[in-house]
Amino acid sequence: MATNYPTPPLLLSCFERTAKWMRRGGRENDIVISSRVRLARNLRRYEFPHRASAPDLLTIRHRTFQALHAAGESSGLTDLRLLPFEEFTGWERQSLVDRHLSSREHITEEIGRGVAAVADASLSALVNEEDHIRLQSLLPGLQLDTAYSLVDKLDDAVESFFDQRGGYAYSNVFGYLTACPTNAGTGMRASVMLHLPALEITGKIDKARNWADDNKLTLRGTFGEGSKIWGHLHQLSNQLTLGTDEVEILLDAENATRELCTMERQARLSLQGKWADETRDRVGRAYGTLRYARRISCREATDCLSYLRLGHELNWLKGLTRQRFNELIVWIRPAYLQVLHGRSISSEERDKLRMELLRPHINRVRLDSSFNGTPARTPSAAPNPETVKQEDIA
Amino acid sequence: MANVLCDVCGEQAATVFVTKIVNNETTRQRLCESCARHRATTEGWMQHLLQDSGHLDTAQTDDIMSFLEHTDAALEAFMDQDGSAEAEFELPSSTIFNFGGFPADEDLVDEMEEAEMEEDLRADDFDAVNEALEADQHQLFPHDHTLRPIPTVRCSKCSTTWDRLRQDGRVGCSHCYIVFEEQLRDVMNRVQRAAEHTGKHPRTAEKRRRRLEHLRARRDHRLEMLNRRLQEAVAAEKYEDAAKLRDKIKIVASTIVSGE
Ligand SMILES: [Zn+2]
Ligand SMILES: [Zn+2]
Repeated sequence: MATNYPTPPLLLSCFERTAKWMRRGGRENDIVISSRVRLARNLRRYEFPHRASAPDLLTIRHRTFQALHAAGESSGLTDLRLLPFEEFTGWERQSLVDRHLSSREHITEEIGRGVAAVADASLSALVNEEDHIRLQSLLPGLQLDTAYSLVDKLDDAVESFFDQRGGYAYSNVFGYLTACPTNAGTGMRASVMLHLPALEITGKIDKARNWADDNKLTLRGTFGEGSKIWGHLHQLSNQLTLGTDEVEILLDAENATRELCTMERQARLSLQGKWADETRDRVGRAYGTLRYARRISCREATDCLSYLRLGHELNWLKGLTRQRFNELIVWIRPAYLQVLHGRSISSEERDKLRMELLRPHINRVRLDSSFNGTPARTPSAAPNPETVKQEDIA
Repeated sequence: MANVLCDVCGEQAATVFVTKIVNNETTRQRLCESCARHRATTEGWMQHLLQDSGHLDTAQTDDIMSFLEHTDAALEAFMDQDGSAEAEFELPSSTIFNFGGFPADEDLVDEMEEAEMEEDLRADDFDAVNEALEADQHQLFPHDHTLRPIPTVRCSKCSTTWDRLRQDGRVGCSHCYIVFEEQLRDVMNRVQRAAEHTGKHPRTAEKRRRRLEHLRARRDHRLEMLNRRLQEAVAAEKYEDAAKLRDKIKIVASTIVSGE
């Protein structure tokens, strides 16, 4: 499409550094970081993105941006940023992945891909990812209901734009048609990001994962998979999209989230009892690292921040709010650092810059007095044989 | 379905809708099969057309029904019959082709889309399209079923096969859901809660459909009323009134509520 988008500013200036989901809001905030609802929609007229021609991809993007622009005016979303990927460098695009506005597969495609989002990223659309349009709402804490109502409204507006232009790909049998048949039906993915350090430390995370699976939900790492999950951050999302409706999906996900919260809270109680020594060791080490290291990798920083957040939730330390944790786990991402500095940076230099970014925030953290000196050993806190086994989970 | 006559011969129902965009100029033609075939070869846009529909590479070597084969078969079928027979058939809904790449001009797109909307309204109902497709196949080979190629079933729009779909985990286009409905139902029954959608419907489309139904019902009701009055007029030997009523009926009956 021959449309000339204005010369792109640096990607960072398109968005508020603190996204909506990083702020206060929602419920179950001690464990639930954010809620996301995504609707996959396709246009009947075109083949799905992995098959569509370049001209079609460009037309789809252009049309979708138009639709969103039109929807924005009627839904009060005047702050819309339209980001055709061609205009951004690889690391700028990667920073969108870090901010949960895109996916790895999405940003590596050459032509016709893009993202549209409001400045606080609470509403966005991924264009020509796996599907033509994926509408997404991303909010803090547990509030899948609000997230859905936002994205549902946007969906209606986008649909009415395309109704006179071939319409959505929809059938009475399979519902909203998607590139991957496993998304057909509602085309909806409801997910929450959970902070589950206690379930990991006490070795109950596999049990939780199986429990989720039995309930037709998937629990997997937000960053990294399996035993390499970063920062104890997990994503819970629905598996079923067909033969069920939106409300049922939301309720199931919400109930499961509350159930997992209960499990995590129980585990956190045992962190203050049976697992106290182990946990204090980890929190203390994490603080030490962040306080005194000169270089730090993204993974190590994420893990350390996670322990500080846990310390905060257990009332063992002060000075690192939930919001600050949410901000920092994104700000320390490699691509984000590069975007922040407006250039490509070697990984060694990044590790240094990351520490510089973290230091002022860590300087405000105060551990409680029990971290001073060597705490007296009580018999109940004797070394636990299971402790050693837990090392590789961290 | 509404019968639009061919722009060239003005006799046959137009079943091929061609939108050509050359040097930013749009020309639209509604053609019957035979005129389309003739035009396509004489004007030399058959190649483009096949390229556009993704059939060029496979037209010779593959067992899919390319546009060329569709039209050839159509002509044969047409000639086999004695002129009066219904040779009218409709190609799968890829009967609108754009030429010269995608248009750079904004208005042009809108214009085209308006034209295409007519088509889309018709293709609105997946079941209707499905039926039309099945009907096509019968009419293409009305007598001799051995003519029919033994196919690896492919989506007529994107030529995806079931094997490829399974390997890839993805379908090629929304039409694949019609072509592979049975297989997909099986899959859905296994991996989903059920193979039937129970969630949200596209709301604008639904509203429009209801509006059309309403209009159609009103027209039919009016026709019924006029016919009744016509019968009464004839019975009462009021021939002048009857003639007037007949004219009215003609007009109302030819009112096309889009979507039919
Ligand atoms: Zn003709
Ligand atoms: Zn297809």
